[in-house]
Amino acid sequence: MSMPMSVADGGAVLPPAAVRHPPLRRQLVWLLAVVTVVAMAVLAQVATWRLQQAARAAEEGWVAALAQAAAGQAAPHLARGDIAGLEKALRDIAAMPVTHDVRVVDREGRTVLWLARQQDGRVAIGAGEGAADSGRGGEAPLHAWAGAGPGSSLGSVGIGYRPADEEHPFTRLRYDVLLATAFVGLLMLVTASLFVTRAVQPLQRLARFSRSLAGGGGQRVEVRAGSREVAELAEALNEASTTMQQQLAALREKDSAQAALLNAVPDVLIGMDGACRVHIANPGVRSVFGLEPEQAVGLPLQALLPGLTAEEAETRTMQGLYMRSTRSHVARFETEASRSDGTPFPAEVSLTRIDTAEGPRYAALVRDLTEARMSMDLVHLFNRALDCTTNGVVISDVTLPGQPVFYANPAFYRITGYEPSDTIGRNCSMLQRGDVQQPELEELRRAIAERRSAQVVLRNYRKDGTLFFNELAISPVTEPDGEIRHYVGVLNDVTERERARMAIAERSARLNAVFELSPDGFVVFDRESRLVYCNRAFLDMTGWHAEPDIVGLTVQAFEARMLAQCDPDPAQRPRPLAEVLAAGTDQAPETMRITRPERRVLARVARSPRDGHVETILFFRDVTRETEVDRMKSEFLTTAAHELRTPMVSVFGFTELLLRRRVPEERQRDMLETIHRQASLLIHMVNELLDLARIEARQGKDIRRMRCTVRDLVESAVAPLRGQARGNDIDVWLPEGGDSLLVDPEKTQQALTNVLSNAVKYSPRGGPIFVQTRRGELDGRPAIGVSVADRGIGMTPEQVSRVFERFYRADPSGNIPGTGLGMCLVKEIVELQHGRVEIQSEPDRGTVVTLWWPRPGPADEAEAPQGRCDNQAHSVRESPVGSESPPVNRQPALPPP
Amino acid sequence: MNRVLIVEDQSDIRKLIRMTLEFEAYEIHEASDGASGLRMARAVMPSIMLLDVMMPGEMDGLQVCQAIKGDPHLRHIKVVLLTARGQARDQEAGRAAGADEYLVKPFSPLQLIDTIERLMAPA
Repeated sequence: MSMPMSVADGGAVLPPAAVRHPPLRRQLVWLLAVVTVVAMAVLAQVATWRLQQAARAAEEGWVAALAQAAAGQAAPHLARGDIAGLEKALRDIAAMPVTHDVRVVDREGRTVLWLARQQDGRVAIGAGEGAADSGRGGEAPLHAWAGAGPGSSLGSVGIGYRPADEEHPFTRLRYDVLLATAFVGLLMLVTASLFVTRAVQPLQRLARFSRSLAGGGGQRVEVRAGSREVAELAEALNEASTTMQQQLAALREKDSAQAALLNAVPDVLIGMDGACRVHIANPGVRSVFGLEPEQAVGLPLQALLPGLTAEEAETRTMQGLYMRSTRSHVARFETEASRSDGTPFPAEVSLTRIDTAEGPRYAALVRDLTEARMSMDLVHLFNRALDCTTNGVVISDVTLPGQPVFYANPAFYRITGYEPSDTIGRNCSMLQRGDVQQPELEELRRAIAERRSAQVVLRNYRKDGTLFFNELAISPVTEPDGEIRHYVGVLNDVTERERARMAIAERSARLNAVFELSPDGFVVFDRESRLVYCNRAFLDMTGWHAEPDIVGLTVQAFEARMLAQCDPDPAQRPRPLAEVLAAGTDQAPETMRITRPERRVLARVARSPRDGHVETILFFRDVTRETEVDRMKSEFLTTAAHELRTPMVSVFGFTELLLRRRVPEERQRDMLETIHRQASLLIHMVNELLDLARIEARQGKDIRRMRCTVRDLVESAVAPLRGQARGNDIDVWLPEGGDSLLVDPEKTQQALTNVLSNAVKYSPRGGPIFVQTRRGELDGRPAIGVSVADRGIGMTPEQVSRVFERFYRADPSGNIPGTGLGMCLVKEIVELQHGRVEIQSEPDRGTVVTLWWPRPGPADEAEAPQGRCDNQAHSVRESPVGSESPPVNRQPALPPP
Repeated sequence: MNRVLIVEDQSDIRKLIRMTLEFEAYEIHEASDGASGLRMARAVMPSIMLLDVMMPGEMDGLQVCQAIKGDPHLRHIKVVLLTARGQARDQEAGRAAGADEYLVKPFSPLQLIDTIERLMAPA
């Protein structure tokens, strides 16, 4: 702005017009001051004049009164003609400062006497005319006349005075008035200035405010002090401000909307002159052409759209549509555009030619088609991809009832055998064909209800009804607004895979069952040497707990754990696993003895990784029983051999001696008896071994139980002994002799015979044998016992504990013949019939052996056949011991246990 | 006269050995278990001992044999083990115990005499 700026009090810039006028405040002050001073001056003048008039009138009255008084004084003297007296009377009056002179005239008007006050205050007295003036200059005093005597008959007295003498006080008054006026004027100036300033301030504020209205900010002004007019003005201004703001806002909104529109358009809008030179461009050029709008200005259209010269533009537009309303020609075409760096790109151009008074003008809208082309290409590619994929793709519209299929790709039709006409618009559940008892369907429903994706394998059916396994993955298609209107499903025909999986699962289940049922333990380690599987048998063998405890154990930890349970004897330990595994496959089984949870012997075979085997498999077989049986068999054979060889020593040796030597007769007999005895022992031993073997092998299957009375059983066992001439007195007492037992009579008699023969054999000095029946209990059931008590050599507790061992002999010296198998047989026979053998014995006091059998219950009664027990007695083999029975020697019975 | 000590729990076998050797010029002593056999060996100082292996009691034949062969005063006694156990392992155990001969039951009386005579013959 070239104009000088004025800065007002508030710093606001005054408009130029305001500068030409002084401020209202100053005008008012000056006006008031001038008016006041003029008024004061006029007032002073009038007042002075009035005062002068009044003073003069008063002076005249006063002089007249003085003249009257002088006339009164003078009258007597006049009347008497006494001039001296007259003179004397008037002298005082003449000496008065007001008096200029006193003149006395007679009736005829002649001056009788005059008295004049001189300058120096003296009074000159004279008579005659004019003498009175001489002493005081030429001044002609005014004279007040008063008649002396009635009707001035005696003459008149005149008092002369000088009015000039009265001017002086008025001069001072005038001066005072002037001073007062000046003072009042000044006061006026100050007060007015103050008042006006105060009155004008709100106006100035309003003025400033109204100047700020132009901004349209909608400001409001608050006038606290000031007059009603100011308040009204402020209110009006506020209204104006509000209105203006609204209008301005509307205006701006419109503007900015248009600007935003122009700026937001991704397309290029350019305005050109008749020569097709850009003179305006929107920011679209930045993104499309890579030019700032300012850079675009001035460029020829050809630079942006190569080949589009002004002539070409004219040709094209003139051939285009004519818009009558705007009187413009519009051409739309696609062409190749060029970015600022020279990159060509496809563009759609809408070129408009407008004929104006200044000539043609062009406007162009250029749209970048790159993305559109790419989108098109992409869509095309997607379509091709969907067509070519081997997975079936199906899209359902979930907004419609029944969620119909909206799209399906060729693979879908290939897999399902359906045609598009069967598919589009129908629900995918057509593939289930009523096979709805699939938990996976519920999962699908849940997933759709929860708007999430899911993957399941379904049993589906093709159009021709054949089953196929469909690995279906469904996903919601989420729209940009978050809505889900479509679900896309991807089908994969996994029939082959499912079949294979099922076959594997079936095989796995079978193998698992095999492994679980197997009495042998299996432990499998994976390629990281961590335990992945062990079967039940292994857990049972080791007493280990189920999986969480042991799965994941390393081979080392596993071995340490096994060894902790092993026999601490190093000789019994197996080779370290690592060594075995390193040695490769086809290793001989190794045995290991574990002590917990119970003593077991395990055979271990390790199969280590080789040729693609990545897992290490340990095989454990519980060979406790085999080992034990082996040991027992070996021990038995050794013992049996020993026991069989011992009698043979006598048979073989004595026979040889008899053959080789000449032996005296009685010697021969002794030797032959020995041979015979030992041979019988051999026979007996072999028989008992065979019995034992048979009983064990048959496990009680050849036991034929029948009802027998206790008496029959005991008598048939005792009878053969009685028959032999032995020294033992067999005392039989059978209180329960009539009771029945359900037993195999033959075997029971054998057991009783064995016990009885033992009683006889081990009573070498003879002695009574007591056989008696007893009542008792066996496992809570009533039982009947048959006890055989002797008074023989008895046994120590250690001997008692071994009495049932095979070949165990309480007397091994051979003095008492025996096989060491008798009591084994007794035990086997009794226990196979659910009975029990009880032995009480004391060395040198005797032995009581009691055989207990349960009393048959009502259930047993029905099943058991009635047998003739005594008939069987004859089949009991005769004991060779019978012949050796010592003579009967009655002895008191062993105290009952 | 050579003394022979028979340690055997079976009386019939003792009798057999006694009868086998009765025509030879031997002084025969008998014991029926290991402990008394060892005692008797110390008392009688036999030239030869016929020792059963499996005997009841605290000491079996092998232990007696070890005791004899471990005692400098008794070491010279020739020990013939008589046993029903004829397996290699048993014979090995007998040799380990220091036995001079090992006869498996049933043995031939003539073979026994041969054995004794062979052991008695001055080396």
